[in-house]
Amino acid sequence: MKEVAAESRTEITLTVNGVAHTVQVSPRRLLADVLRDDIGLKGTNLGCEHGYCGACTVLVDGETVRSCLTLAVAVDGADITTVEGLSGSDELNDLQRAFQEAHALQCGFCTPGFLITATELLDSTEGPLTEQQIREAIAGNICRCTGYVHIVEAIRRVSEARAG
Amino acid sequence: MKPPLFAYYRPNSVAEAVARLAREEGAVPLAGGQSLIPMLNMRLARPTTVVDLGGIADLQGIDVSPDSIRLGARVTHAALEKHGWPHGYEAIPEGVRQIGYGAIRNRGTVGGSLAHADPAAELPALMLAFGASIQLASPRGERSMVADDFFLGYYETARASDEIITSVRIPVRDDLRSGFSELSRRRGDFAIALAVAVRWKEAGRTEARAVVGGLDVRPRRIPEVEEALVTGSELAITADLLARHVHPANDVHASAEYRLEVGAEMLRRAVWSMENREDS
Repeated sequence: MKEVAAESRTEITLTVNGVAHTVQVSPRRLLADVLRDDIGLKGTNLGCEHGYCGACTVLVDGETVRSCLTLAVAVDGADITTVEGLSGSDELNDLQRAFQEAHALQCGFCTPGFLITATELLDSTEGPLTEQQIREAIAGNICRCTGYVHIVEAIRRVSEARAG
Repeated sequence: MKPPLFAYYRPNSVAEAVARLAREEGAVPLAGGQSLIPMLNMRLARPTTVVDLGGIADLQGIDVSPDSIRLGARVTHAALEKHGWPHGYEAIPEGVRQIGYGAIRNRGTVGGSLAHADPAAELPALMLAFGASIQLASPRGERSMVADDFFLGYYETARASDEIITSVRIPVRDDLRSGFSELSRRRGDFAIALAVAVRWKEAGRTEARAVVGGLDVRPRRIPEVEEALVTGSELAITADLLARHVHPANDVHASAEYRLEVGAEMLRRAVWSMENREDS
């Protein structure tokens, strides 16, 4: 049981990209705002703030989640991966490199959400993936400049390379 | 686009949750949050307390018994998608795959979707078609309602404000076959129209359900189609036939006339899909 009054805060601990962070949050605090403003990881972008655009997608305990539709207090103790943690180093990983090489980003605002969504897809589905599988998986991420052809191509390349 | 102030309560039991809902008029239950949190962000909902059902173990799990499949209210759409459904029940995972996007299905729940009762949502139509019953708990005790009685109207159900859905029971039936079809502008968007067809044997008789969603304030059964599925007689499923039972709205997504045409086509496809499954 846990109870937090509207105008008070509670302490939660989140493991973000392998590092434990303890932060004080009010009940209405969204996970996206904790990641960006309390922990300082600005890679997770906020677009629509009601679940449609997909820019704020992060992995919570290995599954894609809209961080704008998640109360931080409700995921106390969770293990979170943001775009900053995808490669685990200063180098780009294969997916990030494929986005660069296939010209799958232009302004880059939507890119963190696409990378996270593609990460779950590539990790959870046996490849090589079909174009249909890729398009269905990214249907919940909106890109307003590059368009989807190059994004699909980047994910397809990684899927083929990983499948050998 | 940030939620208003509210208190947070995460109980460990159904009894604690419903006691709070009964005591505090402005308290609302939070399941997966994929409808409630957008409403909070847009300040369409202003609860005094959010009662998070995420800590209640009794609401979890899918239990299969010889006569029913029990879905805990906190089971996610993603879990439904991955569940090993028996042969004949394909319409359920097919329909669930059309709910929102992957990230939404990872969080959204059975109980949340049914309680929200969006008229174009997949689960209310599926549960109506499969003859599911919805278990509710309140401080007054528990009750069970068939889906047909549970959905009242536009985002409106028979759930009292101090009640929560605890589980859903889908009856296991002999020789059950099912089909699902949906049209939306983009995969995962709200349906312009969707349809479910189910047929099974019960006590030597054939029973059938033909349900359309997105065409009225709640999912509706189309009795003439059900009758034809039972008797095996020929019936043209047309927009005019659907118009006897559903009254779609004109909105930015589609005109009422177009929705009826799409609804008829979806129902034809759902029936075709049900009739043309390969037996295994």
